[in-house]
Amino acid sequence: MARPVSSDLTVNVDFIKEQMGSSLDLVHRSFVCGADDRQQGALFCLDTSVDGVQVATVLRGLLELTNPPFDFPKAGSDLIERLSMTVIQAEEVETVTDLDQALNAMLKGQTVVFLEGSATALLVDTRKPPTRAVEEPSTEAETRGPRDGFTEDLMINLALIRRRLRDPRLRAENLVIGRRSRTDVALVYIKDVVRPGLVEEVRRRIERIDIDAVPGSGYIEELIMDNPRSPFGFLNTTERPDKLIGNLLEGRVGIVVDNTPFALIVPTVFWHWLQAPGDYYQNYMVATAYRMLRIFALLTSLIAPSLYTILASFHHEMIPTPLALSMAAGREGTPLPTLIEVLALTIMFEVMHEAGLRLPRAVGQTVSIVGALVIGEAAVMAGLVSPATVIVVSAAGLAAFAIPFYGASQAIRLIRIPLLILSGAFGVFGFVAGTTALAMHAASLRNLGQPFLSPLAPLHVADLKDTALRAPWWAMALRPHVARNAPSRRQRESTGAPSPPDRRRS
Amino acid sequence: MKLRRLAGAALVASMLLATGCWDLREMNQLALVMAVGVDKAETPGRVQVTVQIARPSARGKGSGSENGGGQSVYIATADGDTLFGAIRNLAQFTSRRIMWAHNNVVVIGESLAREDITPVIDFFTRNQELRMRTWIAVARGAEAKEILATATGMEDIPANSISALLRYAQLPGESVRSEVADVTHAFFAPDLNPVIATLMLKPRGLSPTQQPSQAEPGMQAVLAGTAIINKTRLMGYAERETGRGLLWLRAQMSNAVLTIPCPKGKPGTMAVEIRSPKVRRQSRIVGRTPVMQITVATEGWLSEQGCPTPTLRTTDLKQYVTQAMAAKIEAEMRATLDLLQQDLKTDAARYARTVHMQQPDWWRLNGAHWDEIFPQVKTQISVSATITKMSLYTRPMRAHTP
Repeated sequence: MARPVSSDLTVNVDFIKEQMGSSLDLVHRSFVCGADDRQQGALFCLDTSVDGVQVATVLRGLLELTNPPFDFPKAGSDLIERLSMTVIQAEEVETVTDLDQALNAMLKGQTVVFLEGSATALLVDTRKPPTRAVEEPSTEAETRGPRDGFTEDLMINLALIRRRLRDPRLRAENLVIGRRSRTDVALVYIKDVVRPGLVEEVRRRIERIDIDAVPGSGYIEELIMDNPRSPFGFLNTTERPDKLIGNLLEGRVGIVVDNTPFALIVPTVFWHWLQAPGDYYQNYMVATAYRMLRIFALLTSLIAPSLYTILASFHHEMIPTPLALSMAAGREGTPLPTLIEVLALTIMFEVMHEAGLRLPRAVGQTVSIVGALVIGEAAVMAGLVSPATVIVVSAAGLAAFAIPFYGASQAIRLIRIPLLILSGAFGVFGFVAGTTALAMHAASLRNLGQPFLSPLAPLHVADLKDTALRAPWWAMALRPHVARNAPSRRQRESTGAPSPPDRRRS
Repeated sequence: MKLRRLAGAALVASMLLATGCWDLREMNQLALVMAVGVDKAETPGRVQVTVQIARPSARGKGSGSENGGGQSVYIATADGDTLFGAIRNLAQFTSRRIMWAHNNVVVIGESLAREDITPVIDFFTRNQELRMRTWIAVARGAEAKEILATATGMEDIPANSISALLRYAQLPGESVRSEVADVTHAFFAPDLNPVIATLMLKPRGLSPTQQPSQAEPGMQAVLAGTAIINKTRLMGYAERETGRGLLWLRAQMSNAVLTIPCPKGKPGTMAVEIRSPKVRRQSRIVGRTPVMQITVATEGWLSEQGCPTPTLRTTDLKQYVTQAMAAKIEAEMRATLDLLQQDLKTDAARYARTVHMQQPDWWRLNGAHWDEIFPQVKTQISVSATITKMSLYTRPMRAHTP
């Protein structure tokens, strides 16, 4: 299948032209150089993804070789080799003998040079794809901590990672995925920290992918996840380089995909849902309190509508009397059963959320006003829904957004609907059955060899320091269990709580 | 294959829907009973049940009160051959399903209580919707329905006022706190007799717009001592001195105010508040009958000093007050014992339980005849009172003016 570079220039030129057709962005530059302009050559590149200045430099280098000392031999296979060692003024120069390889390199943004009589093509790295500047991550804003976020450019992203870990053992393995898109995917890990076998497993899974294009990391995520039929199967994603390296240091593997500002982190466990990078930058007590708050928010978002429904429709005796009277007062004259009320309002809430995402920014305010006033206030005033239902649904909806990991928030908002229907149809029995099934399901999941609920189930007491609570850094000298590779310490053994010098022990 | 699996899933899903919402009751289909009264019906052999049901619509919705209005409770009564029958008859005209789980108060009419409280206890222990922590009271000198139909207290729902009265029954120190659980427990125990708080209608409410002299005072349900039940029948009441004495005897006193006359027969009174009282009850057998030994140790706070005793020294005053307190407490206990042993012949003082626990051998032989033995039981009482709150030793305020 491989088609070698021909020593006949026209064959090579015809091949490229035939493959590319008459693309607007294809640049074909024929030139002559060498003594007496006897040497013919051709240069190909894609106008839009190269740095014009660099291409011109390459060209000038070739064109200026009109005189000895560089005397072109009539023909010779090592001509290109010699050129690449000498006159080409570029950082990265490569020679290939395969035409397909040369074509692919050109599509990536490299400049291809063919010379008459040479069965080798010269590839010069002149890439300059259109990129965005490094900006603050929009989905993971933090008050304290770095403000740079990943962009669509893999190289920029790797630079952001590399500048945080100047460790030669930080590796970024390149894989190319997508038959047509030929997307670069980088497996990022720290060689002596990562769990043995993990990188190999991730690589195997990614290499197995045979798809024509990978427009975003979500494709890779869905194609390598362990639990494709689970609502919790998704992987941890991040826009933040600091979050990524934090995970690398815990022995995980980052999958950075070109053209996506969202890197994947594997293995993913439940606690990632509740961890925000900011936790590590602020006081550990505050961070722990916020983690607890997020657990509360997660539970509220998941079970508050169901719990409200079973109380209001089945188990009135469980409501304290004054509250029961208030709820009964609110329900006077409302036409719908509680379940339908809660369901309808929840769906309306999601519609508002979705509309808010899609609407042009200028009319965004309209949505909140119409949503809050029309749906909430007016529905209560008209006696269509009871005020308690509005409070419960909006509290649950709001609580979902307190979960730092947006994917988890979406999953919770999805799951609460079947749970609500189950509770509304079967009362406390349905609720308990639903939540139990959910807990059992979560406990059964594994993610690249790591149980989803670990370190809680199975229990690793030492690792609980960074789950529902965030222990102070001086108390976390060991890496978590997931990364029990050779150097499992991340701090000196004697590092304890900081103390003033006069009280320091030896 | 795939189609069959899909069809199976659809069938299972439709099964979920087919169950409907079994047992579903929305809150606006329920009548939340806040208080229930049980009386003898006019027709002999029948009982009459009165319920006080909250009307949520009277509370209004949310912030706007435009939907509110009307009475905050709906009071209805019906009779039947049995309690359950009477309640079923209520359903003939109450538009909503009666729900008992939020019931606060059970009131038993005096005439029914004098006859037999068994049906009430029976019904309220069998009904799974009723809570055993509901307050229970006897309507003294009244029918339960009269108590229920009276707008007592400051709450929207009179039943809430009554339940608050019963909850804080120990503050005046004359009535017991009686929950259905306690009464039922005593009812079924061979060595206990139930005691129940009582409510009485008294003209206590004044109008904010009319002078008291021009308007009839409104009726209010008032805590009025303790009803003493002999197994199944109301025998009589302990109130004021005997109400307090009963609490002392039962070791349930927590707080009371005693009035003490001035020393040396001078006009005026002092008030002492009983604080952290401790009561120990011991029994022993002397000859063939048990003798009870009741030891009371209490603190007192002098909360009113209305005696013209400028010359009395603090230590003398302290001695006088503590002795007067002790004498008063003992006198109240003696009066209660007279009431229980002579008049009512009912062991409401939990003597039987104490003897049963402390003298099991004696009880095994004689327990069955306790009703005959109880009036002969001797009681030795020793009371020690102290006053610790020094700041209250001062002379009366008026004694400061020369």
